[in-house]
Amino acid sequence: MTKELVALLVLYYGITTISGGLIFAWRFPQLNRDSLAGAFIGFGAALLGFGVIGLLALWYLTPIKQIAFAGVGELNEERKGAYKIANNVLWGMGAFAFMWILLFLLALNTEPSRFLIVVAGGLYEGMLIFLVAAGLSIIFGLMDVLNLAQGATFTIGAYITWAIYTGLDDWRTTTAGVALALLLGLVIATLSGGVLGFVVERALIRPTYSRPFFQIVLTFGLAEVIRRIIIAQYGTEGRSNINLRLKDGTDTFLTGLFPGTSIQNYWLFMILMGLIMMFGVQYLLQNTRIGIIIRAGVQDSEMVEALGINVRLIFTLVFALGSAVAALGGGVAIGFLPPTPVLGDAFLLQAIAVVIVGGLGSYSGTAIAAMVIGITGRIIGHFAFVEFNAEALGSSAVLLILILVLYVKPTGLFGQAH
Amino acid sequence: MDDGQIIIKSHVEPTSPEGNYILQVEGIHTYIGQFHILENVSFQVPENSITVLLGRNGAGKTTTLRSIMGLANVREGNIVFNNENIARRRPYHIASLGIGYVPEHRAIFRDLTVEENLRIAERKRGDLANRLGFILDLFPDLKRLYKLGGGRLSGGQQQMLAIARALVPENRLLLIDEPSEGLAPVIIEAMIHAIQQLSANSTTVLLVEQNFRMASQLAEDYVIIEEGQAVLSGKMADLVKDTATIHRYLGAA
Repeated sequence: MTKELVALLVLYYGITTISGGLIFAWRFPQLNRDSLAGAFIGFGAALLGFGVIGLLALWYLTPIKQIAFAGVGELNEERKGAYKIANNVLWGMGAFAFMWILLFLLALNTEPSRFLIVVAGGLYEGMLIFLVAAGLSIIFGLMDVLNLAQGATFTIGAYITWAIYTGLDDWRTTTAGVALALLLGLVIATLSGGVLGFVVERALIRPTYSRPFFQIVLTFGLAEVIRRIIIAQYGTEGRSNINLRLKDGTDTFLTGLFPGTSIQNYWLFMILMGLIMMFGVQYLLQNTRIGIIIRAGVQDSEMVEALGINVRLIFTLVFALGSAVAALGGGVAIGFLPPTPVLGDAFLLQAIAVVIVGGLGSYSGTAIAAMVIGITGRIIGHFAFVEFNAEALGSSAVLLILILVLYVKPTGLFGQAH
Repeated sequence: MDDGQIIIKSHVEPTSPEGNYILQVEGIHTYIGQFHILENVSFQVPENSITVLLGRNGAGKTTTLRSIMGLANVREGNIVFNNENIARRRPYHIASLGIGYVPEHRAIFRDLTVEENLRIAERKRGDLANRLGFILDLFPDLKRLYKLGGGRLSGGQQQMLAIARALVPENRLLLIDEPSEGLAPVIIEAMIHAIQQLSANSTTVLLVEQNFRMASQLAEDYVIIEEGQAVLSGKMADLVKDTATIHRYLGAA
């Protein structure tokens, strides 16, 4: 075993144990005495289990083997590169460890149905944050543009889907009709988001590539204009929740899979939608030509252009795609969150935090950070509600995580220093 | 052209007939920000041979290559490639006319595998499949590294990959910037061999090289750039004998 390997293992177990231990110590006084012994055993088992899973993941997912058994003839730079990758994976797992421990504590202290609600809530919130953050992250990585209109695009998606779904009220006689109306709304919202992104890139972003400050002001201004237009059209009041029940009152969408809890099937639909987008974009980035171009362009778009690729066209495409995904996020959200003129703004803030925590320009970092922050925020919000009757602390926890990560690893969990 | 600053003295008139120049740089003025970097640079690159740009650090050699590639701001002058003026065209357009670019510091995509680094250079489907045999003959090491991340290659391996990447499409002209920079002597030898192979394969090469030994082994023609101007050009065979000129423009030989 080499020094690097030992260092990695110490780091990994250190993060898991210390963060878990701290939270455990905090919860200790409130634990039920009868279940104390059980809690200890459970906690230990979870830690050990996660440790084993983590080690297996380390072994198979990272080049740690090369680090551990690097031969004499092995080149130094190869070892350094392998170390960097392993280090990044480790940080991601540290974040997951933190989340797992919170989950475990939650499981100790709440009845199962409440536990499921908090977890599912965290998951769907993470997914919605992700749908805003995905575009933000890729656009920033590729073009160095921080698109502050991304939240407004989310809001637009919500209103368009809402308007189409409520406009097709007559279709609410069969389950298929409900699904079709919703789907139609989502498709049109996504397309509109794409068109908006296309126009914004051509009209506002392209002339200002050499002036990034202008772009921030322009996209911020655009977000405000969109907000005003929505207010002019629909007023400052939010719209009412869409009705997913059939006209005769039959409830096909809301309950079902988890009887006895208030977990809605619609949440699962949101989570599923987010997962599909998450892996879809991952597939696009990893396996298609345009994905290779995007990943290369994140590092050096000038060299990509010098290879004969029209990078500006790719910029426009990516911008349109990012806006389309954000609009889809807004559309998906309305099943649970009724549209308001500022609906997307909260998600934009969290998405920016997620992009920074995940590491600028790292797509998988963004995906992981969105899930971790979504779930962690919900759990902390739950604890804050139980302890201090202040659920809002959950969203400030996101900023706390952001500050913490920036202190410990300034480049974000998966970021590389430029 | 009209400011009387053309200081091109030729040892020998170019022997190739007029029509055989694949690239003609005609009085270009290039700026980086406010700075006037190239002041009226003119030279020609004969087809199917190796031409080297010589000169001290900061003379403007890299900027010349970047000007040809469309990556620098060429305000005046023409660059004629294959009878088409490519000055002030977009880089992707210039590249797609058949110019391959191997920049200083290689610009390998770290997050892409060796295979993806090559695949991205395809201009049409099947380019890589057609050329892979040739590329792996030239750089057999790449075979072993094919699935490895670009960021994990050593300097010499990255240089091989950077040249290989420029060979994926059918390029008529390669611009190679400082291929020997930071490499061990044994790897430089391999690089010289590879570039000679390319030339034998009827690819024209325009090289920037500080290492005069490497430059003199490879090139048939030379152009000396000094303070943003092309001051001298001719046959490498003549320059090698002219130690006074070498000392004057290049420092030590």
